[in-house]
Amino acid sequence: MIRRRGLLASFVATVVFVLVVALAAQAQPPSPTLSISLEPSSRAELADLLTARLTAPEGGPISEARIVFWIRSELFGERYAFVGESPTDSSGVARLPFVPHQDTYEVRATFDGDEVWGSVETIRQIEFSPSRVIRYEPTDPTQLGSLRFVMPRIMGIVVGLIWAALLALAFFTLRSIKRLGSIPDGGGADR
Amino acid sequence: MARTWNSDMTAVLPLMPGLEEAALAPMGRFSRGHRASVWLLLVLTAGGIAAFIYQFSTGIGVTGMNDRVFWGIYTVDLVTFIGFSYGGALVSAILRLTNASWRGPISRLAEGTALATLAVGALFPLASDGHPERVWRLITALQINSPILWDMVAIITYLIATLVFFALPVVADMGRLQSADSIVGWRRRWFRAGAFGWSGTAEQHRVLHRSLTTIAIIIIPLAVMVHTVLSYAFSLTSRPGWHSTIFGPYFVMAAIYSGVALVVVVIVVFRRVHHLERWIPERAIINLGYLMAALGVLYGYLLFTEVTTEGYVGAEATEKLLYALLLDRWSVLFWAFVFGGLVVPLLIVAFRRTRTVAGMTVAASLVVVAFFIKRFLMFIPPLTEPLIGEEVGGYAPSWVEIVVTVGAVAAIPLLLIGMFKVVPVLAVVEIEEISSAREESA
Repeated sequence: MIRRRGLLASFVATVVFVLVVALAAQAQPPSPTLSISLEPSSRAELADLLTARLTAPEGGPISEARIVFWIRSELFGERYAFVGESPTDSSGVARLPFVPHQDTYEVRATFDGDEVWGSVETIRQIEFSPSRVIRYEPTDPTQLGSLRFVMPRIMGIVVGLIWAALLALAFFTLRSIKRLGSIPDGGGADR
Repeated sequence: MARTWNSDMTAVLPLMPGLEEAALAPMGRFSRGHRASVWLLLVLTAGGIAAFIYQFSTGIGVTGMNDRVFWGIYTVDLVTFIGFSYGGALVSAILRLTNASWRGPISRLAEGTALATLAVGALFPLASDGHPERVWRLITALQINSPILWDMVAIITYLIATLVFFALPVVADMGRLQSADSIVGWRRRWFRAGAFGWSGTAEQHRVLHRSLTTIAIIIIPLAVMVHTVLSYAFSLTSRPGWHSTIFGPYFVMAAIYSGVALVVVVIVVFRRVHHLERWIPERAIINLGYLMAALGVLYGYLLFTEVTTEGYVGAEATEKLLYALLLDRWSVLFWAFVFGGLVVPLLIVAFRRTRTVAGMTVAASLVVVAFFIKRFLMFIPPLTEPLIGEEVGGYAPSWVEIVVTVGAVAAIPLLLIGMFKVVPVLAVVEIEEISSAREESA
């Protein structure tokens, strides 16, 4: 009797376990594969393209999926900065024009997933041809760049002097009042 | 007159009859109504602090600010409160330098108002920040070209100047009143310590007078500079309605005008509550009313110049904004400001029948409220106008912003009440000096 009950319990437990695993497996949509590459432009006036290819586990392309591109950057600490987003075409490729300002970028592409496919992300170092890199050189159209350096510093000195003058005035006034208060001046006190 | 003697054997004459009681009146026991008012102010201030803590713990998303209108009512509060403070300090400084004989009884209240409004107003950049706990990064990650850094520097500079301008005459008054009968216990010890050995010798008077004159000279250009720097946070931005050469003087004039109005309100309330009618004569309040009217005319002139020059040229973006202000979305607030803040107060001061303490109080209260509206109109509508595309943004303060603002407004009278619990409400030594000079000239 006890053995039969044990068997029944084991059976029920096995069924429940299988059901849970099956349901869990069903709840997780299959994860596609995402790869990043660079598609250099054939024309000098056009930007190179960052491309991300989204493929199903069996290798087929996934179209109409929203791919977001990020680059690793230094902005209040290291973080991925949003660059742009693009949908995949019929061959599963999303393209984003990108003008590089340095030779190498750590590019991250993400797909948030949908009802059919799970989310996926990938990161890759992309190296650009030096001829395509546009170096950032700040220019000052007003030619007043030197003032931008000098003026705040002059202001800082002026403000420092004002603070010092005010505090010194307060200090020396109070010191004088204290000192003069202890010397009787022969009746020249408060009226 | 019979003389008493200080421990250092300097002679002290008795105060003018009634002056001691008047100067120390706010230190006495509160009436039931007075106590109820203080409790109400305390509750409102505590509510404001609680709302700020809620905002701090939840995030700035609980405010009405959004990606279009990124500066809301907190910025309005900041500029309004700091503007109020200029009025107090400038009134006192200008009247001192011009040796106006009616300044004596009002100078302490004017300077106290400047200090209280500045102390509260200076906190608003923190409320407006998403991460106020990072404020120390202003120093550790110093960006010397940042307007925000210079705003803070300007406010701190002005705070130091106002504090010194307020504190030095208090030293003399504490010395003068340290032996008063009503000063007992901890207050007597406080007055003794705060007096810095003041015994009223001619030399001490001379030193104090010279220092106060110097600070009065410094504080006037300082106030102008500080509010101009504050205006640069807006006018150095390429945004229609902000990017204007008139913004500096506009800010300064608005600050003095609204500041004088707040001083009138504060003086009238303290005069009434503590029965200071004998020491703060109607003439002093009417004179402040005249000053307010003159400043109102100047401000009206600046407003007229701004609207006509920008409207006549009619640059596309500016024209849209002006239309929204004068005739469309913001027109009710704009015309409420014009009538409430300029026309009606001027009419009240203009007519002899309304030129009374009550009339000045109504005029000044209207100006105070109107200038809150004006600052709202200066900052919010330009942000709602799109720089790209046609979509107009919107902003309405959330309950959190309203509670914080109400708390800050309540904190100002609360600070003043607290302040005059520990320092005399009247500048006793200054009143005596003026009175004595008047007697000598007579």
